[in-house]
Amino acid sequence: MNFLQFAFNNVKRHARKYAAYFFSSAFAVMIFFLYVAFSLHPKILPSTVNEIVSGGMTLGASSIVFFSFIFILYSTAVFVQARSQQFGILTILGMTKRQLRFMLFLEFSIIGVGSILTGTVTGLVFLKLFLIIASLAVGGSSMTFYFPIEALKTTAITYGILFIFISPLSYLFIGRQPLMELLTVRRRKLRFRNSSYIFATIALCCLIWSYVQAFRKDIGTFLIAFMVIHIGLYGLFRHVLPIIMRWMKKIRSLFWRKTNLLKLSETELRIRENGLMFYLLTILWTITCLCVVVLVSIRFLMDVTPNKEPFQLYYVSNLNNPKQDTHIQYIEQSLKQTGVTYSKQRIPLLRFTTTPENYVDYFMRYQDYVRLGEFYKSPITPLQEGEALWLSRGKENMAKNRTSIQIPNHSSSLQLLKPLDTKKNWMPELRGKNGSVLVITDSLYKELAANTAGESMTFFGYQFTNSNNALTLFALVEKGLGQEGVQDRYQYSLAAYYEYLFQQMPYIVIFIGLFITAVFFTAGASFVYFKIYSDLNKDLVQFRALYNIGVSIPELYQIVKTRVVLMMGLPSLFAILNSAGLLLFIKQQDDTMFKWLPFIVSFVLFILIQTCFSLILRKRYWAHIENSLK
Amino acid sequence: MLQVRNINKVYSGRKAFRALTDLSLTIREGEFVGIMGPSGSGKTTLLNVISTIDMPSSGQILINGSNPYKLRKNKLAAFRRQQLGFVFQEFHLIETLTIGENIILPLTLDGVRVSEMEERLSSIIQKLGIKDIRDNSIFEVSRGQQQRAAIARAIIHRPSLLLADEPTGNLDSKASRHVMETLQQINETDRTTMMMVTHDPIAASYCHRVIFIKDGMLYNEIVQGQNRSAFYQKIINAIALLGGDANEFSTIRV
Ligand SMILES: Nc1ncnc2c1ncn2[C@@H]1O[C@H](COP(=O)(O)OP(=O)(O)OP(=O)(O)O)[C@@H](O)[C@H]1O
Ligand SMILES: [Mg+2]
Repeated sequence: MNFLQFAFNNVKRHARKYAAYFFSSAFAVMIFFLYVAFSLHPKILPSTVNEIVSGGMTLGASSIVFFSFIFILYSTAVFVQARSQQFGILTILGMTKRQLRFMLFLEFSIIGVGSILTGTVTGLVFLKLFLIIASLAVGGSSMTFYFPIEALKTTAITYGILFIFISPLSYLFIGRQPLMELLTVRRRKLRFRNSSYIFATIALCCLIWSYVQAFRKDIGTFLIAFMVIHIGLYGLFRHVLPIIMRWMKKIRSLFWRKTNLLKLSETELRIRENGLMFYLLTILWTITCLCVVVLVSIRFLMDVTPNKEPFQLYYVSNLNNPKQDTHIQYIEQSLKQTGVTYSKQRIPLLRFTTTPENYVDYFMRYQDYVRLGEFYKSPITPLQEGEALWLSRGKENMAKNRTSIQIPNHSSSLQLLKPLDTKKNWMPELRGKNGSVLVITDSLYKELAANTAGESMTFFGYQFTNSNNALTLFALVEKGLGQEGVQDRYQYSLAAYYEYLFQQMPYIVIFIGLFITAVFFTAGASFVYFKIYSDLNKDLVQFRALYNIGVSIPELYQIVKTRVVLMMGLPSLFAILNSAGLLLFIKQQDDTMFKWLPFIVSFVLFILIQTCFSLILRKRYWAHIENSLK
Repeated sequence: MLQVRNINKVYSGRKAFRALTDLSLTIREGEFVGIMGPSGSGKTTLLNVISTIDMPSSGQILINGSNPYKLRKNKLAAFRRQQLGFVFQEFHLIETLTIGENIILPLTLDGVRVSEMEERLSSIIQKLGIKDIRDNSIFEVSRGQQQRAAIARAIIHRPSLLLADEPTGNLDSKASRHVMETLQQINETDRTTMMMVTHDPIAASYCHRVIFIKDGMLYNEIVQGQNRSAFYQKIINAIALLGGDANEFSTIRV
């Protein structure tokens, strides 16, 4: 058996030991790959013109890269530590350091290549799945599958390099330890570093000071708090909590009660051992929690923002437009074909260039205005002779605040009124040098219709009641009617199309955001999963022992529960505190930007998801333990 | 006190293995019984079956006239930690606890008062000579000390039946004698019934009766007479008969 075979068999025979490490690596690879594949998606790439979106994407990318690296490094350390006894035995049996290093190198190469392959392949499957869902959600053909060659390359290179560097690094993890330590796995004792009261006090001060800054309004100190809180958090897990646990253990009547003995000791040990992990998890979940807040807030904003464009599609036909009927027929046929349901408004209009500003204004009858009012279920404004109601302001220069206008070839001037309902746009901005739409009394309209200075036209507006296939429809209409905009005898607008796209933007943001958030959630949970499972074999023996001396099954379950709740709950709690602090501060800066409701919804959502994760984790872990007790 | 009737134990694995065959024995209240036999003869298996850790394939076990296998799971746990005490061959100490905490574990589970726990703990660690390592983690003590901690844990709640699997396996002769004397004392003062597996004829000579097992079957049984050194000699002879080498053991007086 040559050395390569030995290394290969080593991996193969101890498959279970390697499995956790292998899967967590593969998972990290998959996440990275998916993210790159998404950000390089031909349809997403150009749509990231929006600064916030692209900023968010880069932030997401860097944090994903950072965390998957940390994740792999961390699991390597745990993995190597767990195998230290094997290394000790191999050294005793006469394996030279060189051979040991070579063995590690071979092992990590095998695992590395394996996890890159597994990660990318599962990534491809998920990409396909995600895109199917995405295109269902966004509609149209915006999110088609593509073969992400670039992403494949990037992932393979990045992680290839990482795994090449990991084997010498892992050697560092064990290289320093004397043989004795390797052989007698005194893991627990080794890690039993002392906590210091001084550091604990400093950390506590940092933490409290930082949280207090959330209630102040000073940006400068808040930024300092933003950094100081890291010291506070790390110190909290590393020094403060162990000291508190020690105190709790000193209270005999608390500590020496039922399973408290086991729970508290276990908790203390876990906190002591995993201070760094708790800190990392807290940061990770803080970001996750903030992601959830942003997502939910966007979702809320979307609901609040009124529809700016009253008609998703409209067509204005001049008098004597020969194509009017064919066009309207074509539009309606397309609507039918794409399954878009709509309500239609047909409104006659008059167009005049009015003085004194020489704007092109459109006039509509009061009776049509009333009809629209009924349609919108909005209050209408009464109108007297000699008045005109400003229905849509168009591109009118605000500085030139018109109060009255003069229509050519017409004796009296018209007083401009503002409508009661200003929240909603009743009519779109029509083309022209301004394009305000004004309402006049029916009698005046009749009078003006005979006026030769004006042009009469017909407005066809379509309001979609379901816009699932809007994108396809717009493409179809554009094909049939030619370039949108002003033509010789008609104008039509897909203005809503751009607005529609703009409205879809949050969907894309939400979609990507959801993805990132999901990644962060699972990354955190798998951190915990990995940590808990790396001790599984040891735990099985311990639980067996407890069972044998008469600890009942429900009591054992309590212990498992405490463990999972601690590992998930503690970082989650501080993540929520951090996010709440940050949000509180932002809210003080700009009250309009955030509302309380989305915050509360987000926190509840976050807690719910974390609870689900810990439930699943607990159930799965307990199943292992329970099986071994049979 | 303890009745074992026609116990069979078959380990069903890749290759089924019959570890106990039609084994029956009775132990009276307050008796101190030793179990001896070659390695792999089924001693640990027998203890596990009696202690309800492992199910027998067939046969019946009665402790104080009741069958523990008929108890529901949680009752069984309570039964174990109140009526039974074990010293496991692998100790089964809990890593997260210190030696002292390991010892009081059965008491805390039963909700004994703290002052009483304190009292019992200090007296027992005094007796077993592990007072100085009370607050050490179990990785910081030797196997012999771990073994004594395991014994302390098994007897601190004054069980009515103590099952010990090689309690002196890792101890030198002095510590071993100490442990045996402690067990004997508990047996006499508390009238705790005891069943101890051992390979050490000196330890076995503290028992009232020694049962020999070979290949999962009852092989022989000898009872202590008046004299412990005569008993020791009988044990050695029995071991020789069993296939061990009698010359291994000197005929020193104990
Ligand atoms: N879980 C198991 N599955 C299969 N066979 C087992 C199992 N446990 C024990 N055996 C077998 O049953 C037989 C008796 O084992 P047991 O542990 O009772 O021996 P023992 O008398 O305690 O030996 P020792 O003195 O070495 O402790 C052995 O041959 C062993 O191989
Ligand atoms: Mg045994």
